[in-house]
Amino acid sequence: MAQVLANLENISKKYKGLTALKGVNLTIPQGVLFGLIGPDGAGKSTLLKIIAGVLTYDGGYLEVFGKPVTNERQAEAIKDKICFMPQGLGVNLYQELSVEENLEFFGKLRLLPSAKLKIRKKELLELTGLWPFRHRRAKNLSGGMKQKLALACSLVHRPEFIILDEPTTGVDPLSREDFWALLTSLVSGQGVTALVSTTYLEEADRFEKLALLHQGEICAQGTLKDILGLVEGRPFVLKTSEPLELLERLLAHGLRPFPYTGGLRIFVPGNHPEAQLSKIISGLKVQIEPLPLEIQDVVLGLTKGSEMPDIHLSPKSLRVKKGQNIAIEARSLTRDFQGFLAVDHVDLEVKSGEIYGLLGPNGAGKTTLIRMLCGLLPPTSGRGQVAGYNMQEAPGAIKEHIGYLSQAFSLYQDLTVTENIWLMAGIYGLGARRTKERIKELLQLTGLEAYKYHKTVDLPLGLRQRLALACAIVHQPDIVFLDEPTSGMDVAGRQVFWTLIYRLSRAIGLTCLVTTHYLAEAEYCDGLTLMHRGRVVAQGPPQRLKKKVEDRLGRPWLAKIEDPWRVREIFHTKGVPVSVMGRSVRFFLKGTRQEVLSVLSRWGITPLELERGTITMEDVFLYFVRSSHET
Amino acid sequence: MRLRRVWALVEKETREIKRDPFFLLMAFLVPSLFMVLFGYGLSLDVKNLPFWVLDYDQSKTSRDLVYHFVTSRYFELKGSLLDEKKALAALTQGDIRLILVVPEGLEKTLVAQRSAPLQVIIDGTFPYRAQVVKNYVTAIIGLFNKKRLQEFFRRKGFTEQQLETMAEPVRLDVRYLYNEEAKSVWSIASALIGMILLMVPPMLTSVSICKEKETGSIYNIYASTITRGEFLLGKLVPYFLISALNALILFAWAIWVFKTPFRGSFFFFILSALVYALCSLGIGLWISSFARTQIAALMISLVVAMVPSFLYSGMLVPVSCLDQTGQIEAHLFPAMYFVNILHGLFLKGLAWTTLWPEFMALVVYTLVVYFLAYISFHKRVKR
Repeated sequence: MAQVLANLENISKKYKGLTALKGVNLTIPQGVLFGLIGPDGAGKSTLLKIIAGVLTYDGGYLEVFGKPVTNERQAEAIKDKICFMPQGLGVNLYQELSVEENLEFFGKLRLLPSAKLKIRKKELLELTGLWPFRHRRAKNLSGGMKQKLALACSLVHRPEFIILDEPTTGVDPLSREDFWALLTSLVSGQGVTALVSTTYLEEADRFEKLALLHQGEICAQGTLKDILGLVEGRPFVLKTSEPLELLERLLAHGLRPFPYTGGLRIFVPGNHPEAQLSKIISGLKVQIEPLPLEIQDVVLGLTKGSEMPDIHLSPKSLRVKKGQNIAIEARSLTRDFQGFLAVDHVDLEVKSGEIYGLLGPNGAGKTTLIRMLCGLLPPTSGRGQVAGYNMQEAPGAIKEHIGYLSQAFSLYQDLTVTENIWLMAGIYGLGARRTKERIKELLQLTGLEAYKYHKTVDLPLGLRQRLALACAIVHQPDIVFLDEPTSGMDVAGRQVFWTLIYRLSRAIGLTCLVTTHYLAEAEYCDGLTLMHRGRVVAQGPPQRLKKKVEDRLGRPWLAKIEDPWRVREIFHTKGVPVSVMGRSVRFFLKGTRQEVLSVLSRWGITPLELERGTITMEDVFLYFVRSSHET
Repeated sequence: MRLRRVWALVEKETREIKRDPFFLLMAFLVPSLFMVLFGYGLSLDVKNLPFWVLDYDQSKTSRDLVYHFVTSRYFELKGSLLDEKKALAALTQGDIRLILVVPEGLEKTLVAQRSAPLQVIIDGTFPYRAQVVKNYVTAIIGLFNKKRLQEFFRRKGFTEQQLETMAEPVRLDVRYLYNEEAKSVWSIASALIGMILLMVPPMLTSVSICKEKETGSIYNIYASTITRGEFLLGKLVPYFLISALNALILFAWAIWVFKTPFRGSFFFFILSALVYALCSLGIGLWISSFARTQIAALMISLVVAMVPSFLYSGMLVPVSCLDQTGQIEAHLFPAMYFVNILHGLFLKGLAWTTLWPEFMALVVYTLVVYFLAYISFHKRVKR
């Protein structure tokens, strides 16, 4: 058994009456890459800061490196062996300082002798690929580069315990891949321990051990296998021509369906999930396909709260006018911000009533594209039709027929739920009688009836976003644009929100264009556009995109190996797509198991284990981004 | 104390300052800007007061009386139309400061050897100014009365010599010491150095630390082995240099632009200005231990520095003229001690032997501020 590096017993923390952590017990073994996964507001940052000795706690006991950390003096004693990187893209960097100057400052702060610092600096800059940019100011680096520099700075003194707070949030997938590889290489084989937090459940398989944090409590810890083993049951995807009946049936049985590639994804618990499922859906014509168990199924099972609200639909009165078949059409849409092409010749076609996803990292141009489609920002060139109106000629008419839920929080915090809807109705010029009717409908539609007199500021994030959606569709638009509506929500909140979108799309015929940087959410959409640096890198239904990648690359392999960093280098020279997952590598090689094993041994790689994996949206995105770079 | 760490911080800080034009502006332009703004704007001298005359008498005597006001350099005639409404409106508007009302029959009454009333209506919005106006009016009327008295005796056949001694048996001879022309700008410009050196340095240190709190780079400090003392020292050094430079710049402003005399020891000025700047920077360090954002740091610095240095430094109102609570408050802030030193050095030419208690007060104050800043800064924070 590995030695324990940090031990937390019943740690609790309150901020002015707001409970952040309620009795956290956690054991972090030495020499592992340890993940802390949870949504915004779960208490991840608080926990990491406490462990790093930069934040006090109210109750419990903390030991790091076998020494108690209960006061400031004791906390000081561990600081020569740790590093802490706060949340945000390169926020601990000094923006006015160059790459080199930043590294030097961190080195001097850690009292590294000049000669040693010089060597270490070169080593880190080469490893991160920042050597050519060493004279560039930190503020002029891209998000991914900033994050790599921040990591290099944190590691300059060779800490034994690395604590990183959400290092990959908002970083584009390519840089994220680099970041993980870099981190793994720095951690592996040196007895170094890394504690890394993330909101992305997809990143769970990057860690050797992990803990799930939810509302200030650890709800599971162990290896990914341990955690997946916590629940019995199996997820399925169901496809049918009667989606609403199926949805109601599933909800009535207490299941939590997600929209998934045009169908519904559910997790059926129990020993005999197939039998259970066929009982539930008897009488409906449903096509069933089993799926591999994912961590989100576990999280949904372990975290209570965010119950599915009681939603009533009266589709007849609400149905969007059957109009044209194509809701959104864009041709060569371009937006030039003084030489910077935020959106670069984008073509887009969204059918009426579809849930359409726009996927890309921060800065890919999603928001700019949406703002152009909404008529809020004139395009530099290109043309488009939204809800049957020409973008250039009738931006005003477009605004009347669309709803927009902006990324920035658009509600008035001190107004109640009803008052917020009332205000939006007033802005759209709805009459008093119509407004009253509409408020009743919308409260039912979004399941907010019980909260109608609550102040918005008191609502949790999930409910607030549902209210924002209600406000966005108060004037019965044909299309609604949702700009990162689920950012920061927990799995349960996201499930409720997506099911709501699904209902609106299937029951009312509302076209929903959703942007997201959660790759997993891409699979919830009927159609998809992947964007990177202002350009479209792939388009189509998610399953077709997956199929395309599978046809080209085959299914991925997962190999447990001694030295993932070295192996990654080998794969790189051979041109094999590879990513490092903790102590394993994930790579694409066509052929049977035997063929792959022989290829590996020819390259001098002997895997401890070799397994077949499944293609994820991350693979899809990376594949298309990489191939767009090549062309 | 590891000087290498302090130096790393100083070096980093200096680079950041040099590359941030906004910060440079705040550090070097703002002090001089304050000097110009307040130096020219805060003049307390009452001159060229605009006034209106309502002369209902329209006689030779009344014109003579009004003439006394018109020729005085303290008053400036703005209107003489016989329209009470217009005159009052002008007073309300702030176009004039006082109305002189000469009632009908002034001359007749005087000729009948009776005492005649004269009314003056003063804008009392600012009591201090109203007082000054009243004093000027009284003085001018006194002069007018004296002249009439002399006229009376001249007609009786007295000699000029006799007239002079009879009208003013005791003659007042005023001589202002230290500020010979009683120019308020002299006293204000020198005191402004104290006010500005209390306003700007705390902003520099508190904003620079709170900026790190806002961005998150403060965690580099929290999570590293640098000690509290080293950190505070590293943050202090660059801003101390800036503030020292500013002290010299402000001194130059006072001497060369506002022509204030300097009669004390320059060495003592530098010494006390440096201690004072150190104290003021320390207040900023202390503020940053509880302020979380740059805006909060700025606001607190302004409130802590602006109010006491304006009201309780002795710049506008002498401390001895404040009421008891005012005096206690004045002693609680460092501005008073330094303004005393400044007035002593600039105007009175006092030496160390007289000013040392003020200087020691500054030293003690500085030590207390640094003690507070040190004990309230934590590397393991509550939130």
